[in-house]
Amino acid sequence: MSDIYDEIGVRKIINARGASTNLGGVLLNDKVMEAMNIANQNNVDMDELFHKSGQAIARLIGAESAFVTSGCFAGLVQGAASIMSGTNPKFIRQIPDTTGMKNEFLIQKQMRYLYDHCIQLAGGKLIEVGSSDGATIDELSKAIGPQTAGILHPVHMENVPGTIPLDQIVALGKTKDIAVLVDAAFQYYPSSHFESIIKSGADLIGFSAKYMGGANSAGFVCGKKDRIEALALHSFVENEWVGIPPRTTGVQTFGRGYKLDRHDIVGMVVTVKEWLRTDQEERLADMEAKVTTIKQSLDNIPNITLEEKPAIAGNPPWVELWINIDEQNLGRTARDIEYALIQGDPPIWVTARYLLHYSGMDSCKENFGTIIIRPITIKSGEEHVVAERLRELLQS
Amino acid sequence: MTSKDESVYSELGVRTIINARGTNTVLGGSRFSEKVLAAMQEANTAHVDMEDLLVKSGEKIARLVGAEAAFPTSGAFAGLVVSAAGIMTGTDREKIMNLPRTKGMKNEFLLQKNMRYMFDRCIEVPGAKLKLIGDQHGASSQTLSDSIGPKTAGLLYPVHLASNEGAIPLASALSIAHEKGIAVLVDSAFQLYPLDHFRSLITSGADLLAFSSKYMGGPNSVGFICGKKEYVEAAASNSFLAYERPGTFSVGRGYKLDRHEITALIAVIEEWLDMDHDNRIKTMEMHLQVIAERVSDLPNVTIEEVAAAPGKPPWPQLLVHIDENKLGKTAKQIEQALIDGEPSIWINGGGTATNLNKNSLIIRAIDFAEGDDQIVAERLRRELT
Repeated sequence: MSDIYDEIGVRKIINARGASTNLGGVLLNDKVMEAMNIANQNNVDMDELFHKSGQAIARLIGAESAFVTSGCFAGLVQGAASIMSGTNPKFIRQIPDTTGMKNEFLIQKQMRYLYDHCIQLAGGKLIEVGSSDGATIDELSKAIGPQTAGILHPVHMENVPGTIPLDQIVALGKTKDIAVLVDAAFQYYPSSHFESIIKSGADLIGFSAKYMGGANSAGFVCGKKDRIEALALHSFVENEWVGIPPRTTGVQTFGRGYKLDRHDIVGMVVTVKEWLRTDQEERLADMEAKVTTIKQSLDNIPNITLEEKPAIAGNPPWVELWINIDEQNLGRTARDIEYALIQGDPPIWVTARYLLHYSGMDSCKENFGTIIIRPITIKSGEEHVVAERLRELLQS
Repeated sequence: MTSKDESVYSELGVRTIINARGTNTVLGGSRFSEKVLAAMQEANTAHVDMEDLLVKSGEKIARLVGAEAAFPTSGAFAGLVVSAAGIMTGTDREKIMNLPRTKGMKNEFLLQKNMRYMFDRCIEVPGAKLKLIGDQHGASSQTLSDSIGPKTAGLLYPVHLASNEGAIPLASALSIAHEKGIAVLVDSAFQLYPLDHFRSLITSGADLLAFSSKYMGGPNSVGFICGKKEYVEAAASNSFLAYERPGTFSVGRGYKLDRHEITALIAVIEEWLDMDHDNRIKTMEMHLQVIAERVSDLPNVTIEEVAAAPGKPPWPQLLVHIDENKLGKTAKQIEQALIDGEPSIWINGGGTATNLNKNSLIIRAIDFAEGDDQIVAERLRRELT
């Protein structure tokens, strides 16, 4: 049966890579999709929906305050903007021109990552602290100057040796009266880890919906009430006046383009609710079963070793299968295999593991000779196709 | 739309409303047709490569609307931001990564002073500067030509303001800009009706045009850009997708899209192009007629029916001009009273940013359910009596 993808001429793929943005995240949970459809049946005041949905999320996860955003990254950009602008309408109107504002954000050098660009987009400056061996709290403290607005802390980078953990960062922020902006995009498994981040006392914490079974372009920020209020002033509803007397500022906001639909916001609340009541053991067991199928198919193949990676705190909430390849003996690289899988029919997307090193423009890739399979996005039954194709490619 | 399920809203404590104001961003835009909803559902059944989906969708949209090239965006405003970025950067990776720092780039966009509007901020978001030309009475072609200097990247042209006093028409602006080698970026968010007006803008020779999907009945947070191939490519190089190619940080990273938003966009454009627009407008006019008849006999009230016309959003409007002094109420107060009542009704009271229609109520019947016209008519009569 032909569908909308056939009509556009787009090939359907097997996604064995996980909730990647470039693969559109996960397929939406049925409950989320259903809520989105229901959301379409009525009109509402978006300003009211924003605030009530934020309150609902805050209650669900035990945060002081929360606000739905157009993805975690958009939340971090608005977060950085609001830390610099506060509630000053002149400053809000001015972003990304940060003249007159504290505009520096500190980051531990070995925590630099793909998305720290969120600071630059809001007009801030990223200041690296420490060296590639790590940073000390003392170094971080000394780096705080008159232009320091905050500290950016990507919590998933805490497993890099020599990094300072979140609790110490929050304590320093409090002492020095600067904001702590946390990227916790996928930090919600196990629940004790999720809770510890929410309760850490950080000023603003960004989360993404897609790792929870929600939309690719939705997320939320939670944290301190006054910080969330300032962040909300950068949102798209503020661009226009709502209510009499106006409940919004009518200030032309930097965040005007980070738009959301009613169904995105309702979908975000339902995503959180569903995540909190998911039986995590069952969810992971389903992924483990798929890993087992693929492992069995690759049993006894030379030049490879298999490693099952459990879901752990700090990593995305999923199980992975790592296929380490002796590229010399096999005569093919992990990248070759990744590419061959995409070229096949149906296309299968996996990840050939690499590490990006950042230093401004000069990012270079370090190849590990490993293929990573993430069963979270493999639909039931597709694991057999993945197993078979991998077997063919790794045997030849 | 018949039965309405309010459960997802009542659970949050959010009131549902009757939208008699139009497809406003602050009201979440349109509600989707069955066909658009079906396209969204279908999108959620399979994984695809977003690059494949975005590029092929762009090609399909270009074919449908008769443009050289097109690309889906997260709304018209986001489309304008990535377009302004693309005009400054081209496909130069270093420049793309430097935004909003525009050192070494042409970074000024001209805008006629009497065309300033609430979304011209799209120029500043990627780091460019807005340079106003002319005065409140307009600008001459000569002024435009003389204002183009070594730092000028392009001209921003919000086409819905082309009828403002003394505004340089799009065709003249295009020929001057192209003679001087600068790009023209057109905000044509709701310039979708009549279809020959829509098509005339697309074939105008503008380098980039931004459209919004919500006025066609699509999502609030979706739109598309179209125009010359090299410019659309440059804009796409600043999109969220570009960021996923390792080592190309783009200004558009936060303007993310879902699979279902892109398929909804395709479905809604197809629907819009196939639609019987006479019938669409007639339905809205009938609703407005019900309201007009209910209040036209009242003192202190004058009724004006405004037809859907090129340059305006694609709906007819009912203007209720009121004598605020004699009535003892302002248009703004009536707007708020309708919002506060049960059910909550949103109209536009007292115009928006301009002083136009300051003493008037603006009513648009774009999204009425069965019987909504009667409810709005009754409530309005009570407020105006």
